[in-house]
Amino acid sequence: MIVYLYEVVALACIFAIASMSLNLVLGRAGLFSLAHGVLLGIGAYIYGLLTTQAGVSPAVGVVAAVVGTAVLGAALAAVSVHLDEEQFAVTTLAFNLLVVIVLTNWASLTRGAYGVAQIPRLSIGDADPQLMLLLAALLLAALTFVAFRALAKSGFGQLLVASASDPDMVRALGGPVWSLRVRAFAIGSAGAGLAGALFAMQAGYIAPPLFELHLSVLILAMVILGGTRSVGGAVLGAVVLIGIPEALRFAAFNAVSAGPLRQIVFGLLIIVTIYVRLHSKTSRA
Amino acid sequence: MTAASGSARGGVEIRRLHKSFGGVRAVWDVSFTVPAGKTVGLIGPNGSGKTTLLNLLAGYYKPDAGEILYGGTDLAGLPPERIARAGVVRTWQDPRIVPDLTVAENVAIGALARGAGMPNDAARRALLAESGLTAVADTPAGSLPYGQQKLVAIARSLAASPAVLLLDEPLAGLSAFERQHVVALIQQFRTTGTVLLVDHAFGVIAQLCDHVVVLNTGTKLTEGPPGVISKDPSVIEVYFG
Repeated sequence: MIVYLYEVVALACIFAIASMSLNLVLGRAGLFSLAHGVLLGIGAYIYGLLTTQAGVSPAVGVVAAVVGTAVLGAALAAVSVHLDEEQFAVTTLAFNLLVVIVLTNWASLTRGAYGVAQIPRLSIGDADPQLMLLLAALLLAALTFVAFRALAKSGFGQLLVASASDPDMVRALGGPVWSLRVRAFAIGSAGAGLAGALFAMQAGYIAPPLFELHLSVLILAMVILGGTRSVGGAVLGAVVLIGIPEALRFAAFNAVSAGPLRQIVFGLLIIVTIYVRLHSKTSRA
Repeated sequence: MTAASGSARGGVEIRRLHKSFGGVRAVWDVSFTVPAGKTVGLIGPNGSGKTTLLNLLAGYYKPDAGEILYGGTDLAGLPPERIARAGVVRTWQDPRIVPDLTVAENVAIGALARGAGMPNDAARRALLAESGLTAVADTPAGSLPYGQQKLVAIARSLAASPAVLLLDEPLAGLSAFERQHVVALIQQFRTTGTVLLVDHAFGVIAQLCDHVVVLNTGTKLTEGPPGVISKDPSVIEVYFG
């Protein structure tokens, strides 16, 4: 039971890192990204492949996942942040689909549909690896919180909010809106990469279906549930959306109805959060 | 480094500027100079091309032909952020404030956008005080009345420390009290900077401007000192008549 709790708390921390980083992209920069889940997947694959195939140490693997995902995120942003909101959302959605197809079919690099197994965890001496992962996830989530809150309150964060609200105004005052957005997306992708590396450690095994669109939608729902303007809210959203399905595991009447019931409640939650998001947007315009 | 310290730096020379939308000649063969350190008024009836001209100067539109010479370079066709960083900064008729940010944060955007970093406390307080915004510094700008939002917008442009300020109807829609604040801000700025002021109210133009350019149907009707322009029969016919 205690190991199970460790796992759930670590998973909540991992998704809190993912949702805090998407909070910068969506809540500050106003970029409605449907690629955050697959960026997390890219981080997971960089970590998983480097540590299992290339003999890289877990610590170096984490750094590589953060940097590599940030670079790929920057490349995606560079060709898409000038688009309007709907076009941007569709472009990131296409990126999500495309990366999953590549992960599935470029088997010589990614091991294709077999996935990557026996992914190692960070370890120090003979400490309990599950406890180690929990502590690492807690520490990194706390650091991510401090960093992203400082970013949100900084001049960079204020400019991002202004650029989301009125990009022409910011440009007319000298603000490089394109480069501001690319930087925000790259930083957000770095957070997704970190979450991905931890996710790969936690799961021990990764395969392409894990990173299909539902994961992006899940992280998006966490951010929207917590309120897009608050870094703390993103943490709350992650805790709730990771915690509720786990709680429902025990609330179900019998083992047969547990799975479908969780899916139904989960689906309803996502519909409600998206509805709230769209509704608040139209009422503000 | 104050933006308007140089004397030669602030002048703008507009040469044979053209801009059409479809078949409509919005600005046609317009030339005039805004000398460094002077305030030039741009007047004309609705649809005469004033705002289009401002949009050309600020880089929002690309001219079809013509030059906008500033400090030895041609600004025509440059993107808005380059023009702003060169020192030519505009305002709009609408305040275009960011409603969710506070007044102080909105004003700071002027400095942040041009890459000058977060303004220090003293500079920020001084600008807010000059603009009469000290009392509402920490209020979300969206909750202010229209006139105060407009003051925020002008303070924001000043925070970008421009050499040339392009003001699009800064006094439209303001109460008499708010006008005083805006006029004081413009007068304060014109002691060191260059201004192109677009407005309908000829009284304000006469009070603030050294020189007036009159547009009509996209072309320059005439130009001269305010005292001469107000008595020009052709101006009276299209503008006051």
